[in-house]
This record gives sequence, C-alpha cells and structure tokens, in this order.
Amino acid sequence: MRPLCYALAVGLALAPLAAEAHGPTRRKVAETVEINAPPEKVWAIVKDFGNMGWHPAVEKTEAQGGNEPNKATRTLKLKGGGEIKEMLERYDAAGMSYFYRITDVNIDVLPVANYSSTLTVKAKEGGGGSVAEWRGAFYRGYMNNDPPEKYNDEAAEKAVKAVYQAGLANLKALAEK
Amino acid sequence: MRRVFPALLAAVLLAGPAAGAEAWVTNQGDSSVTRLDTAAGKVLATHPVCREPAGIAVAPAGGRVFVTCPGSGEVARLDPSTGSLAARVAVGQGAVGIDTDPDGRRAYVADWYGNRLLVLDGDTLATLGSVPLGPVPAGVTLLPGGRQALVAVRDADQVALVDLESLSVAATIPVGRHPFGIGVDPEARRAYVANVESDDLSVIDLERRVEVGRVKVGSHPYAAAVTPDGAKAYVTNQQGNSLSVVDTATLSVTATIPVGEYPEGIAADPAGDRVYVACWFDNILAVVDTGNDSVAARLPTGDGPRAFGRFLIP
Repeated sequence: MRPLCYALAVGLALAPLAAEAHGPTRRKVAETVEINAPPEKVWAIVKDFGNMGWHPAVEKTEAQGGNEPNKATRTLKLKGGGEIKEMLERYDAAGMSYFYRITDVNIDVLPVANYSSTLTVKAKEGGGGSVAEWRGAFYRGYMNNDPPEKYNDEAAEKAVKAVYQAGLANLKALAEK
Repeated sequence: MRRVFPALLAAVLLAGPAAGAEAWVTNQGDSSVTRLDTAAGKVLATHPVCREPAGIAVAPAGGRVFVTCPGSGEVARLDPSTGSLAARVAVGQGAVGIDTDPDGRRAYVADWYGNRLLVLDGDTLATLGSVPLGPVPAGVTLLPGGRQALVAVRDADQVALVDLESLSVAATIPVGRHPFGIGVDPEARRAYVANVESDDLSVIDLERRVEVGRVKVGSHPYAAAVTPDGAKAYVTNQQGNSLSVVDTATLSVTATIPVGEYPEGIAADPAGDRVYVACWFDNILAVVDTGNDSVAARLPTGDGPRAFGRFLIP
C-alpha cells in the first residue's frame, strides 16, 4: 500500500532530524484558503459528503447515507492505493459546515489516530468571495511510547497539513473556474 | 473533613463579595501556563513551563502548583506567587493526569504508559512510591481530605479507589467505556466519571463504592465538575463542543451548552456560581454562569489549553 503522501503533489518530507518522541497529546491543524467565488458556489462543490472528488488525492468515493449525521459513511479510495473510511457526525447546511471522523485508516496511509475534522465555507469578511476552512484534531498514528519517526507527532501534523493544503488549493481552482 | 467545606464557604461569604477565582491553564501548544483573573476577565501572566503541559493540580495552601508535561516527560512545580519553575523532574512520557493534597505535600501522577499511580514528594518531586494499576491510567482526583484518590483506568473501563496511606487499591469500580476525567462533589458522596467511548457519565456512590447510575451525555465526554452544593454536574463533551448539565438528583440532562471547540478541563468555582472550561481548539477559557447555564465570557488563553485537573485557586 502506498502512503497518501505519494498521491499528493506536495512533498511530504518526513519529520525533521531532531524529532523527539512525544506523549499522548492531541494535535490540531487548521488551514484556510480565500476563494474568489461566492460561498454558495464553493459549498456546492464540497457539500455532498459522499463525493470527495474535489480532492486531488482521491480516486473515487464509495458512500452511503447521503448527508445524514451518524448514518452517512464514505470510503475514500486514494490515487496510488490505500483507503480511508469516514463517518459524518454533524451537518449544518445553513452554516455550510460539517464534522466527520475517520473510522478506519492504516497509519501507513495517513499516520493519525482518533482523527476528526470540520470543513466550513464562509463569506469573506467585507464581501466578495469566500473563505474555506478545514480543521482537524488527531493523535499521532503510533499511540505507544517512543514512536518511530514516520509515526510521530510531527509526521502526523505534516501529513494532515499537506492533505488540507492540497484539497483547499484544488477547491479554490475548481470554484474559481 | 465533611464539615470543613461549609466552614470554608462561610468564611468566604463573611469576607464579603467573593473575588473571582484565579485559573491556571496549561497551554499544550505553546508550552506555557496562563494565569487568569476570572472576575476581571483578564490574563494576569503567562509563564513558560515544560513541554506540552496537560495536567495541572493546584495546592494554594501549600504554595504549590504541579504540572505534567507529556511532551518532555516531566512533572514540574511552580510557585503560584511568582509563576516561576521551582522544580522539575523526568518521570517518563506517560504523565498526564495529576492531583495533589490541599497542602501540596505530595503529587499523584497517573502514568499512562507505566500502568501505575506515581507518588511524588511535593517539594523535591522525588518518587516516593507507586501503585500498580490497570492499562492507561488517565484522570486522577483526590477525595476531599486527601487520603484517597480516584483514578480512571481508561483501557480497563474502571475507576480505582486508591488508599494513599497504604498505597494500595481499596476498590475497583467498573464504569463505562474509556473513563477519563473525574469530578467529585465537595462532600465526597459521589464521583462523576466521563466515559469517552460510551458517551456517558458514570455516577459512583463513594460510600458503597459502586456505580449507581449512568447518564447519556454528548460526544466524547472528557471531564466533569460538580457545583459546590452538589446539585449539578457539568461534563465537557470534547467532540460535541458543548457542556452537558446533569441534575444529580434525577440523573438527567437538563441543558446542553454550546461552549467552544474541544472543551476539556473543567472546574467549578467553590465559592460561586461559575464553572470554567478550557476549549482546546479555540484557545479560550469559557466562563459559564450556573444560574442560567449560559456562557458569560470567553477569556483568551495560550495555544491549546487543556487544564486537565484541579486548576482553580479560589
């Protein structure tokens, strides 16, 4: 199975040399992108939980349950192999936001555990465009003491950041077309 | 011990309008502790500590504040009058939950990886002993009086009642799945245990040492606090971004308060009508008015506030 990082155009260099082992502390990553398109247009691209075709690393999405919280699930089949299973937990169409979690992933695909995430589209302050925000909370994939470097906290943060940045960049490109 | 609390309360009331409690919040993201004046709603100081602090336990009477730093595998002691680091010791990366007796003579640390409760000298932080426990000890809460501790043994789905004089387990009490933080009422009648995986709150009768109820709360409950009169328990729903308010007489949820993202550590003001909640994602300490169960203020903290433990100096 090839890691998700190979499927991404961005380089996922593994953690720096001085990376120290960490204890069980949760990490957070938040990435935003400004998009020159109305929020409704951006939301229309991402609003179906069952279709993550807007992310460049996703080959196809197998899904069921529509956008119904605690029912909707999806499996992301990644370009280059590997998959991620996720469940929708909260969905706010009016607020253009949803919250979901990973229910199953191999840490060689994405080196995280207990991962949950929120995707939100907002109007840009001052009008004329939108801001898409993707934020996640997770632990490193290796939950025991002294993780190997490729499974440590820095590796987890770096991987999630890369996923978000690649996804948001493509969302911007799609919405501004 | 049960009589001390009403006496304390009376003393505070006699002293006139209660000044707000001082909150000591561990900021995991920037390796610091923020001290807040909760009445004035302002940050008093930010002190650097060891790496990625999570747990905290204050012993104002003893002039001691203890912090766990899983990032650097340390426990540190701060001087609450200056905020300076007075002592630090390596204990391994599993130190998360911590509590102390009212005088800070000892600190008790749950060792996440070592499956034990460590007993540290409050002055030197030298290890005095340890109590073997089941897998992944998480939250530690001393009962009023400081002679017994409750430890959430997360992966065993139980709470251990530890006798702190003999350093032995006096009882193990099965609870919900993956217990984490524990709140106890001031008279030590009951303990309220947040069960992260089963989304509920276990209610333990401390005299009988059994679970007497289980209340469904929000998503991923993390920690709990009890009002000074014991009438209400507040539970942080870490992934529900809310607090569940539990009526302790009927064991029902009477309100759910949206509070901020990833609420974690929680404490009830022993002299007043406030509970304080650290919201890890939002970098705030939410102040909740227990009179109307709404958020009265959101105070800024450092990055990634956790405040897991006893973090209020009344």
